[in-house]
Amino acid sequence: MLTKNPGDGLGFAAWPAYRVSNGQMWSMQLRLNDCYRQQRFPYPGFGSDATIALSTYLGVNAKGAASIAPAIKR
Amino acid sequence: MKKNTLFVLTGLATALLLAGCATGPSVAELNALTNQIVKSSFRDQSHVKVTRITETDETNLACSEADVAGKPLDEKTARAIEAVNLKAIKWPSDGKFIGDWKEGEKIAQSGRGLTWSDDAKMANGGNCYNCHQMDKKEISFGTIGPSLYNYGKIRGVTDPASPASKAMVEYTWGKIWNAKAYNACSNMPRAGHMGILNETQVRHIVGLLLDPKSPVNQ
Repeated sequence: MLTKNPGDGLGFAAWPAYRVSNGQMWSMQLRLNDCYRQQRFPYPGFGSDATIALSTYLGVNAKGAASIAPAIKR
Repeated sequence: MKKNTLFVLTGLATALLLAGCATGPSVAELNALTNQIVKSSFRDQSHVKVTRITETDETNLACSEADVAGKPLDEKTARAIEAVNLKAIKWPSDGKFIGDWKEGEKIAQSGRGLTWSDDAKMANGGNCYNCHQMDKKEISFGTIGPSLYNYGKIRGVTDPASPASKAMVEYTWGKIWNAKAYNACSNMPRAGHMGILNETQVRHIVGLLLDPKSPVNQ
């Protein structure tokens, strides 16, 4: 659910993280890029207004939650 | 380029918001702003074009706006959308509706295709298990759509070739080809209509669902 605060160490509060599926350390930007890719979207630019707006929105909604970055994600 | 776009967008956003100050930006203004941001934020990559999201049809537009507004489409619009989509269905060119269920199962299992990292030359999958149960043996299935286990059996289709089964066979084809012909804002992708699956693939999936020998109907 994108509009609620998922809590400590979840969602926005878990990035940047080592993403096991890719064997790499990923930023939120890269994670969003892959999110759009699997939705069959065209390519979102890094640092684009859409991705900055979306991560800001996620970050604001997660206000107060404890970050666990750098984390491990699947 | 980046700074320029940001400035233009901020200026545009401010202008739009001020223009609608009394009641907030209108739907039309927000749509225009969204289109601006989309065009500046996304690019074509491999075979995936930005037009895929900027040139959606009236059906998608109407259903998306209803979704954003939080109000379902009114009866009249919904029926009209269904009629347009029903009319657009391409029925099998050779009149054969039932294919090979074994191939159908492979297509239902495959979710490949249409991302920018997919090879455009390879066949797309139907991704059916993403939302539906079908073969009882497959325990990894989604529940976004209703279970299709025993699909043909439940509907009394013992012989798909018989005249008694004609309506159900045609409905099954139609639903896979263009789900919105029967439910205006269905979440089910319009597999045939949008070019995700071709005629042969749809035929195999119909076989998976309606062939009495298919594991779906055991």
